[in-house]
Amino acid sequence: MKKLFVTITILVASVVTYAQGTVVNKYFNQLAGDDKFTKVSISSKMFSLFTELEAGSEAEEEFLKAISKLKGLKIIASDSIGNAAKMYTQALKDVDAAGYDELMSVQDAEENMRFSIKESGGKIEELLMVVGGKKRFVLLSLYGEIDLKNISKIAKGMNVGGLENLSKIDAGN
Amino acid sequence: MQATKYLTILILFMGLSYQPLFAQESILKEHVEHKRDKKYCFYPSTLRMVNLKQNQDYNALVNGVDKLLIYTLDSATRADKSYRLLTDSYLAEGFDEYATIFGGSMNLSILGKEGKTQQYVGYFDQDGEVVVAFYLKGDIPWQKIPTLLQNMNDMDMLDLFDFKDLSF
Repeated sequence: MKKLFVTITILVASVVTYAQGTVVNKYFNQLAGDDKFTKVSISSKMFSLFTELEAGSEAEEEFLKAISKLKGLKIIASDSIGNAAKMYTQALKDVDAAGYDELMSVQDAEENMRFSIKESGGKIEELLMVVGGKKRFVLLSLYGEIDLKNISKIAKGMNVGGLENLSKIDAGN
Repeated sequence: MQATKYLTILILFMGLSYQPLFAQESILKEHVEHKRDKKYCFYPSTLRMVNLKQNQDYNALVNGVDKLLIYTLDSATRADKSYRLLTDSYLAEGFDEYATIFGGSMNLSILGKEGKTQQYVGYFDQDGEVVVAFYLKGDIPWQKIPTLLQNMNDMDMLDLFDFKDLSF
């Protein structure tokens, strides 16, 4: 019985770990050898180093506090692909199929973007941003313990194009 | 006699604890030593020496660094990108991935291993024109970096990497 319990616990833990970052990991693997795409991965170890930094201003302090519970960041981006719109549509299908909830969409003549989240136990554990333009495609995954109240601080501090749209979430709260 | 016994144990212990760190540094050497343009080896004294104006923030930053190895890699290695294999070797040694950037004009990989002595290893590739591989053993007070960047001017440091004729 004890063995069975341990086995089930390990299996559940593996599924949870695998579930986090499902979509972004799939694209990381698919595009691993494709130099047209820039792939960025920041691990929890790196975030823990960031949190040791001394804040020089109140804004920096708020940013460091906001990222203190993050476990990682992954970005796949390209500004020069012909099938960006197709990739965007496919990525949205993958996001929906993986069980993410839509948080916000932004659509304009230049490009579209969608923010989605994955929740567990009432906490947001992953935020996904998908951007699709004429030639631009971005898939960003931010994971860890994410507080929506702090999301605009994270967005401002990270200086990643498109992420600034998250400030609209704060404004809506 | 008793003292000799303790001394032997101490030497053995020190030898054994030093060996893994040495082995981990040697992985980088195996990968890039024969593929380098230049090699820079810094110890606390040499790290302080390049600090021309004796900036205290910089000295505090490097104070815990035991050793820093920097290799600039030759054109053939920059082209075949074989230096990237060093990350696999270090991951097999229990290092964790801290940050990676691949594709586009910049490629970067930083790995680290926590322990009694912290270790960092990795490489930086800018457009394939400059490729640097490094290994750092020691502790860095990361919280000092913003202050250092704010307070430091270009003229404060000896720009070693501009010494085109310098070879080791």
